[in-house]
Amino acid sequence: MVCGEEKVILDEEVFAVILALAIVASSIGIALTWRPFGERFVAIGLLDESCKIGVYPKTAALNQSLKLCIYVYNHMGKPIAYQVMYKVALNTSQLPTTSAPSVAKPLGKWLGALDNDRDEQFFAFVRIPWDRGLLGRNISLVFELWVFNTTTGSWMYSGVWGHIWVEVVG
Amino acid sequence: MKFIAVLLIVAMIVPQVADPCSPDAISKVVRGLEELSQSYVNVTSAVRYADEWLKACGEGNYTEAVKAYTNVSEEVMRLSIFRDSSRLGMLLYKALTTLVFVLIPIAIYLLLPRVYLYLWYSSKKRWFVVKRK
Repeated sequence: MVCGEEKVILDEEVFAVILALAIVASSIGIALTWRPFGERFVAIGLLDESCKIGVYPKTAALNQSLKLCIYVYNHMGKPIAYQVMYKVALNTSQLPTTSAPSVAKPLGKWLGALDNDRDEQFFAFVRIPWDRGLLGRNISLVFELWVFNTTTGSWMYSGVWGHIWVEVVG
Repeated sequence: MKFIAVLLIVAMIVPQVADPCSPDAISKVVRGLEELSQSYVNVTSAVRYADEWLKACGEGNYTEAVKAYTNVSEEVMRLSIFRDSSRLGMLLYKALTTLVFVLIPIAIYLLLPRVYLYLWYSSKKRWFVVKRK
């Protein structure tokens, strides 16, 4: 402060900084209020019979029923109708990709509806098909997530799936 | 009166869907839920009914599916009454929030020096002024 200058109780620079912070915070607040919905996606998780990640079956007998837990999550910004399809892939080429479902035929399905930002867990009892040719082979239990598309009026593969490998024993 | 009108509409719609698990039926309900959701209507109850309905379809329980389909159709119809008011309510909420955010820097600009001065004087009102020797 220069000698003779009028003394200001509230420092002008401090006041300017506080005001600038308030303007920035308000701008962010307004932008967040009117922001469009972010990335839209659905997710599926394959869990063990305790609905946890970890203890998956390594082997399975023919026609044996396995208890697994399926987790589905919706972040599409709207309610969805979903379908989880169970298939058995005999090798890696039969596994689904992010753009195409598995070529194997569906052996089971579970349907449901989920609101936006909601998830669901449910038990799935799946059976290894009775085929002696599978004995001793490693097969993959595949769970694909399909979502109902109201534009086309049909079920559409979402591009996400879960799978575990098991050895078929006698 | 509104309730009777809703019942009549439901009675007209429900018999038209022969199979409650057909893609047409699913499409109709899911589209209804999407439209309500985009109008900011709380569709939690309708989605719960839809979940029960689709699960019944998945289990092949036709009787339960018909019952659940009627429930979800009625719920979608009931909620559609709130579509306009919910949309307007959300718009008002966003407009008011924006107004509050706009007013905060102005309030700080106008009130902060006054409040600061008031506090400054209040904290020093018991002070004695002594001439420096």
